[in-house]
Amino acid sequence: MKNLPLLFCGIFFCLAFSWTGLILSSQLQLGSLRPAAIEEGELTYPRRPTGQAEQGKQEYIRLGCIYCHSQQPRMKGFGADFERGWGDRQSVPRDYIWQKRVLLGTMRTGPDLMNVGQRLTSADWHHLHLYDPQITSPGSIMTPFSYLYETRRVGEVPSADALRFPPGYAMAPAEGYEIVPTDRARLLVDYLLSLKLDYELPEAKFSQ
Amino acid sequence: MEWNYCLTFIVFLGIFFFSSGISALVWAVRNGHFQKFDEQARAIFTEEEPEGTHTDYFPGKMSVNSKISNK
Amino acid sequence: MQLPASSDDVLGPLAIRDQLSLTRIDASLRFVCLFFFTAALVWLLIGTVFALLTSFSLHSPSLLPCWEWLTFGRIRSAHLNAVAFGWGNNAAFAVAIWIMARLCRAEIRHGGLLLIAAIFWNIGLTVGIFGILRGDITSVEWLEMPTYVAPLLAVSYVLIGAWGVLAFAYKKSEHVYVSQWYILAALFWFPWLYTIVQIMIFFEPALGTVQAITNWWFGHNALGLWFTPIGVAAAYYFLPKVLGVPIRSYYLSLLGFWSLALFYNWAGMHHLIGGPIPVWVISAGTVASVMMVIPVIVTAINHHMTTVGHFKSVWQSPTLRFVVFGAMSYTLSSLIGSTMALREVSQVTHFTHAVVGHAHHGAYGFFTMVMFGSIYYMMPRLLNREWPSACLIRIHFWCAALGITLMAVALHIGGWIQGVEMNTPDILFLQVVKNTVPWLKARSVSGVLLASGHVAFFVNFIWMLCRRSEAFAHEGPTLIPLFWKKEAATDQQD
Repeated sequence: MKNLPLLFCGIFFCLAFSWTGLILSSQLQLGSLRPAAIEEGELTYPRRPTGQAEQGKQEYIRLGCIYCHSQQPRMKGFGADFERGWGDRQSVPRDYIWQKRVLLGTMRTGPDLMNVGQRLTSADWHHLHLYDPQITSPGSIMTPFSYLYETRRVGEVPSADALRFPPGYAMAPAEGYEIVPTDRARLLVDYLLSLKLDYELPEAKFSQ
Repeated sequence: MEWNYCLTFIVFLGIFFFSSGISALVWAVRNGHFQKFDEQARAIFTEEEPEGTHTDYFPGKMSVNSKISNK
Repeated sequence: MQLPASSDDVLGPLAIRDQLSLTRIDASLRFVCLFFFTAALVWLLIGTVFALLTSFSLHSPSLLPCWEWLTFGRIRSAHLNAVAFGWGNNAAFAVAIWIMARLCRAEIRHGGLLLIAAIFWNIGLTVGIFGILRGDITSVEWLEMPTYVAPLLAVSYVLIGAWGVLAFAYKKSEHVYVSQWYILAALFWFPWLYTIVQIMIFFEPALGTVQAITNWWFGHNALGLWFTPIGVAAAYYFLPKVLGVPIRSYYLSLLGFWSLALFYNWAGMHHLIGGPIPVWVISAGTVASVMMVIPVIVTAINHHMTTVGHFKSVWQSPTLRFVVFGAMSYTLSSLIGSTMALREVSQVTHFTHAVVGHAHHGAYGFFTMVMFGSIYYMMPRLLNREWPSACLIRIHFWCAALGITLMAVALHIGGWIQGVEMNTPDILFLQVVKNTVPWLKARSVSGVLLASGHVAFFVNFIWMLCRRSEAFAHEGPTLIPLFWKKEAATDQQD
């Protein structure tokens, strides 16, 4: 084993073998996936994401949410993802075909978010939770994202989307001030609310 | 149908990789790459750092081996 | 007291013509290796700071000021990239090229170009980590650095790797040693992996979850086909070298190498068990992960049989303390890894801190410990100087060994409990999270231990660099070759 070309061939083949076997084969199998309808003539799924959700996804990426939150509910009976409401069915490759950047994630320091838009439907809840997770989830170890919010003086009319803190919240703004989400926070919440696994696909029906 | 096509493709590819591995091995044996094979384990020793010498230790902890070879 | 100038006047009649003396080869690599090591150590300290920030902010989320660049996802990624590509790669480059040059008996020529490539690698890394902190993070695991530094990193890597490959192509030695295969393979594999993955995820993104498959093919192979071969190569070199006995079975090492090359490639898919990818891909990953038992056991047997009868010598050598600890961690963490790749086990451990613990067990307990050992051996030979303090070496060893053991134990147990609770729907998720906190605190304690070890190492390292060369001790903390000492003694008598 001292011949460089021979060693090189072996080294190259080992890598090429796995690339062909895993990646090229998957691409051949999945590369032609298109949205599909359960029955002929019905709406096809998955839906295309809206522009706002796409922009919000960029915030999700920039803030590194993926390092604590996955987006891949497992099938019923494999883990408790179904029972926890993280998805009425497992997610399948077709669910991700519109995504330019797939954010499966491999860590659940926090819950799975594939279906969070269906599980937690209130934008107010998400804003409070992002501003200070202790308000909505006492004992959570999520870091606060209060830099996505700005404190400002209340105008003639209070802002419609100013955060409504629960009574007795210690860190509430002083009298005459309000805390409002920045555009980034709004986009991020739009994205979170858009994450719904509320449709069936031919290969993935809701679990009973 | 398409899936069968993929499977055939993978199987043939597998056969190809496997047979090239075997032929490389045969080639290497024929060309004497395995002659005196175990000797190559001694390639790390030189006159400067010879076999039988323990070459790294904490102060005052020189092992018996290296003392012998040091004489 | 000078370094022997050339092979002829030192080796005399014993010298084999054309083959260079080790001292001369070491001298040809002095500046490059010192640069790599200094950079590696600086990155290690930076990475440790980010590690501590990350670890503390995970169990005390309101501890750090609420600044955007201190967001958990970013400092965690800054930590990963600083320690993997800053510490790991810089150390691996130096160790790989040094071992390669020594085994090829060839000087490294045009070291200046190598140095420039090394500088560019570190510039790319600095820009990349700043990019992560300012929000250009890609959120693709193991590839967090923004795409604008990727070409620079790829090119500098290829340039650095080329020196190792060229040394092999123009080798002057008759024989080839097992470490050379591992190093050669690693130097080829990593740039290919990196380039393919950059294209398939960022420049021409593959469809949907094929990206995830590509991502974990890279993520696992960065460890398996880059850090692992370099670590194993160093263990294969230093273990028999320091003990002065050849490796027990050379055939076993051949089996170990090719089975690693064949199986490790496929193993990464176990990171996606239960995920939205074809089941056969996952099965392939699980099978390969279990097959990894072969190279691991083969390597373990070979190392163990080489060491049998020399355990005292291992303990007496600073290099081998670290290297043998690393080799043992390799066996243990790989076997745990094979187990975690089984569907039933993964059902519990997937998505938990057990995976984090496992990653640290492999990357620190194995790779980093072997690199520490290698640096302890190489530095005296590069500088012709002893390590200034044996005490600091001992502190470093104990902090590192206890720290990583504590971390691995805490995160494996804590992660397992987390996984079992997470799969029990009756337990509220928030309660599961709260129950992980004590284990995360234990991890922070281990982080403080590791950090203390790193500081001790850094102090010793800088002290050694700044020492005048007269600090050549006859009975120093570590030994530079007996041969050099004899020379020095003769010089003094003259």
